[in-house]
Amino acid sequence: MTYVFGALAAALVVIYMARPNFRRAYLSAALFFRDDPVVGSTSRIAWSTPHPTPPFFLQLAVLLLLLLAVPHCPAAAVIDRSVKTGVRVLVDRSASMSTRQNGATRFDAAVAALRSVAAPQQSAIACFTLSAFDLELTPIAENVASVSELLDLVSRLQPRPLGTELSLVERALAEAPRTAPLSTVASAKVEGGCATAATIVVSDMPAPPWMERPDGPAARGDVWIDVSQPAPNAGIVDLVDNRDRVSGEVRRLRVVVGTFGGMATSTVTLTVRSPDGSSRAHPVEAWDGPAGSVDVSLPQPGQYAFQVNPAGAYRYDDEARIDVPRSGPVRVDWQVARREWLTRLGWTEDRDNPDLRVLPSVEMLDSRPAIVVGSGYGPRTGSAQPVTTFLETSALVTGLNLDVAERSGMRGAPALPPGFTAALSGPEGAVWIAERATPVAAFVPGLPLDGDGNVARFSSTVFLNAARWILERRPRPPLFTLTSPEQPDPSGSRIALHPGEGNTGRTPRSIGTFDPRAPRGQETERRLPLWPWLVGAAALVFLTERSLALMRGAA
Amino acid sequence: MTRSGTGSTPEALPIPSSQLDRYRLRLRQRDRGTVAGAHLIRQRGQSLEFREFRPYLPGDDIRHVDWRASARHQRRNELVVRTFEHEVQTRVVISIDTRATMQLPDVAPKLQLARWFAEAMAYIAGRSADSVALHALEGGQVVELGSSADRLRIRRALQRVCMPKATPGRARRAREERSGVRGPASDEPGFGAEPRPICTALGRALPPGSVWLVLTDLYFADDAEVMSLAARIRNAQQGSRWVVVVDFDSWPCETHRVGHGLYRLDGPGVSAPELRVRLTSGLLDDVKGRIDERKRRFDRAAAAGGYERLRWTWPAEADPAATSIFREHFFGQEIVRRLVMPDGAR
Repeated sequence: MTYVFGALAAALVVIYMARPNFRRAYLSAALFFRDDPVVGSTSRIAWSTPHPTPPFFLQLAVLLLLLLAVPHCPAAAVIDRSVKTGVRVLVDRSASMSTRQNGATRFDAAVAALRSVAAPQQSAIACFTLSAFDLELTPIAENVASVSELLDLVSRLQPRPLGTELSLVERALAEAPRTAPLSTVASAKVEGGCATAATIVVSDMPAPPWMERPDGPAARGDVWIDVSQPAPNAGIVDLVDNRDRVSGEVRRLRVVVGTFGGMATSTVTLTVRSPDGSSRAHPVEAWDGPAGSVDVSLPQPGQYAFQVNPAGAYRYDDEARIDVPRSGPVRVDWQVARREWLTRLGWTEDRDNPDLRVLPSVEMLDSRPAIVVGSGYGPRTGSAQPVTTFLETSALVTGLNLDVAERSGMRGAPALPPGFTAALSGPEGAVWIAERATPVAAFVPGLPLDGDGNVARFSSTVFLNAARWILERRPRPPLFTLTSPEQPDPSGSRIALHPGEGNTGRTPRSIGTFDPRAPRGQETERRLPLWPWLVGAAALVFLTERSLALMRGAA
Repeated sequence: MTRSGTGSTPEALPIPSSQLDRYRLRLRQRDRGTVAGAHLIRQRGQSLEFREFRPYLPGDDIRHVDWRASARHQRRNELVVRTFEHEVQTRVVISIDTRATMQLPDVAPKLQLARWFAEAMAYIAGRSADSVALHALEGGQVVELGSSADRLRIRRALQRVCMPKATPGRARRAREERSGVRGPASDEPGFGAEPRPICTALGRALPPGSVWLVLTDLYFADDAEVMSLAARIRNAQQGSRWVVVVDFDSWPCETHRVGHGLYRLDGPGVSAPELRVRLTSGLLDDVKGRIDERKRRFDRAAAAGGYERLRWTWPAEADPAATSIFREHFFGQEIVRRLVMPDGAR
């Protein structure tokens, strides 16, 4: 194609050389030229340099423009230095963004920060993609055309009483498509979305360390804006219950209270309202730095409410409610002999909904927790029986006197049921206690032996270890639940005590300066096709030349 | 006598009458009471003032022989005649070339300057009580002005003379230009292939001793026309007529405006196909030399003792002012001073 247009340009020059443009002159002495050598009086061909007339230059310009428009011509494309960038905005709308500082919430500060960052760069931004994050990353809008529209969308968002899952942001920044800056808004929309080249994260969390990794988001031009400022706050940071390991009964609760942002600890109290409606204020004690605690007795089941005073800048940690379940005896499906052990242990028999089943053989196992009781401890052999396998980390061997097992001559079960792992066993397959993780089950050689000797105590410990190991694994009803994306509003014992949300004393830490025009590696230079412009210019010049020719012809 | 101003029409001479009033025809100082040949000079008044003695020449009035002076003359066989200052009325005929070449250049047409020249001369002559006639060189029409110094009348007469009219000659020339074939010009009233005595209207308007001013650019289509005019001028001088050809030469101006390069030349006398030339200095010099050569041949053919050719040259400027050209030549040219002179000058 280059050669074609080049040949056309050369042909044009030749034509103009062969058919020069004769200007017209009207002379009173013209007749005296009749006898002079006449140039082309019979032929219009007269080789000469092209006369610099506008039509010649215009036609030559058309051909040259078309020549430049040939796609493989080096001049056919230019590097677009005035590109526009698609910007992705991730806004933190977790509970902590409702913290009030300087008379406004941190979310208001986020909107203001976005305005200050994006508005000056509006001309360099093709479009925005808006997402919000707390415990989940939620796309809000794509192809937002202007800063004002973006701010309007952000302002409609409100903080939710949820925690902040920064790993979502880290993953989003790592997986964000890195496209080149866009030349036009249209091209971004043609691609079906706002292809982003930079990301702005607005949060009240300090920029995490992974932002500054050598190949991290900051190196790629992403920006983390921390809008937080220290604000005094006191609130509940944790609720630690104290339960009976076998029965699951909640007896006490430790309420951990934290102070942040310069809040004085001496005035912080915790008011506890019991299920019976009585309230009692407890001074927060046992301060260890900014954290103190109050141990609360929970004598009765029901809902307890805790209120921290004074309330601080963050409101979702000011109070908490828990539901203390009603506890009862262990329900057991006793399928073996010697039922008197039910009474001895204070258990009740419940075949339909047992907490524990005590079975004579492994064939009776199902998905419910159970203790499989073997055929019983064998008679004394008279010779020592060394312990060869000892699962030290297992709770099943807690408190066992291994000397008894080795010297008393009591034999373990001759064979280990399938699926069980021995926690204490000897040679020749002798097993004193074994466990199975799923379904939860334990194997013991036999029921506890009567008597007061070492062997009786050993057998009782084995059985009770197995029973406790199983009962500890019962699901226990929680005292409270946390708000979740599915149920974001606090209600009853569903509270918003997400870790770290009430920490209003962090030192803000932002990273990066937003510059949509900044180079972003090799992908930032976008070579725009120039040929459409060249062809358009050629068409315009051609139109001008034809118009001039038409006017001259009319004249 | 009506004295009008410079007038408001563009064809009017842009010289006020007050300025022209300071001039009169110098011809009156040139013509003496005694002239050679068969000059018929009408004497005005009876008071002849003696001027000088001179030897008798054949044709002198025998009554002017001063016998006493002849007796005292050193050469005994030579008579001496007495000469006198005469109050004579000069006859001035102004012929204007109205061909298409005189319509150029557009910025300062030669015909316009010819009309101004004729108007100025007619006014000065009229002011001097001399008789003036206007004549269209191409059409042969003669318009008598008498001794009128009425500039309005002069302009109207000029308008009649210069008005293009479809004379048989013009029609024939137009046909020739279209066909490219030129025939003999024998049917023209003023010019012919062969020199003819002045017996036409122009001949009647040009009595012996008169002054004939011919305003032309001499850009005739062929030599025959040029030589015909030259022959007539030569003929006219035989009657003691003084013929002054004012040569309007706009070549410098026109070639300066055109410049060099490739041109389709057009103009009077050029017919299809168009002249395509590459104008160069060399070509222009050649053509100019050809024109000058024709004029020199014209001069040689026309000169018979009473012939002068004034050359009014347009400056080599793109846009010269016609008024400046006229002023420069009418008031500054030596040869014009031989035609007119300020009052009191000798």
